[in-house]
Amino acid sequence: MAVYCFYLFDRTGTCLCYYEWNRSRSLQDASDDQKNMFGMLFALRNFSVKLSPDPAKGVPTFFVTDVYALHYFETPTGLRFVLITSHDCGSVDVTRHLTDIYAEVYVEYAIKNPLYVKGSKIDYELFLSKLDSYVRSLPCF
Amino acid sequence: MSRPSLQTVGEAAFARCDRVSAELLALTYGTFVRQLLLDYEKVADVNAQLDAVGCNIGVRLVEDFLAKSKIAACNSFAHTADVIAKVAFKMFLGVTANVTSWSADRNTFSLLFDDNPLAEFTELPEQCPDLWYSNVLCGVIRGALEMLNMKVGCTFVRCKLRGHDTNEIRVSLHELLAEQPPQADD
Repeated sequence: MAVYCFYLFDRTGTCLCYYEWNRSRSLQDASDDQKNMFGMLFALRNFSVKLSPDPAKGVPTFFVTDVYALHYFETPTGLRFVLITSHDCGSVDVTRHLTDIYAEVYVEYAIKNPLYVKGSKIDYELFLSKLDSYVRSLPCF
Repeated sequence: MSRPSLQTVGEAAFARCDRVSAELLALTYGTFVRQLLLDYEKVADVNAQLDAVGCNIGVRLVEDFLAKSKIAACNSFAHTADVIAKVAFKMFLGVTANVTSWSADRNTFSLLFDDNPLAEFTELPEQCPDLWYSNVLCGVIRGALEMLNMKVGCTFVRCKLRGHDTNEIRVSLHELLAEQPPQADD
């Protein structure tokens, strides 16, 4: 089991935070990668809700491929948290950990940081180190 | 299956929060309003400033609210009103409000609350009878709902400091903002 990388987008599609642990293939262009990721999630989420019998529900929580799994969590304020792990974490409830990252890392160390301007990239060391240690402590890391 | 009532949710969220003494909050807020009254000449400007400050607080506070209360998305504006009154007021102010006076189109409601922790120990000075002392609350509600894609107008209509029998905030929904798709590359 492994955790590859983490993305956090706000409602406008700005990538507030990108963090990687052991992503074996290096990126060509990080901003392109983030834009594509947001675009894919946006389309996937909206289409998935359209397929749902209940129009208020049907937001995907994860999908699995033969090598990796993507876990997704969004807040009513339009923040989107994404964690990419190895495929064997697919059945584990990683989305729950993303809600914890929201409550215990994002809210505590970004939102409550008076210097942080909402909607800008989060590059505070404390935030990143808390994120890093939280993810490293996960059973699926 | 019984869902926990909003009261219970509110009390649980209240219990989870870090707390500061009510006196400290009331006195700090009082000093802050006083400084604004010195800095701005017109009382109307102070009201506007309090609202703007509140709005900035609201856009951040809503994240803390959602994270701590663990509440699911509301399915109607009426539900939103109840959540503000029973959960959000309880969590951040320690009091609950009542939702009343719905307009016929169900887009406007009033929040009534008797105890206002912000206005403890406060008397309005005679030279500024038009001050809405707790106007910051209006801003907070407006800012928080804006983050949830609801554009609302929010004003104080009654305030105990002005001699009314209770505090009343009128909230009206102007529009639901649509989600914006990501911008295409040029």
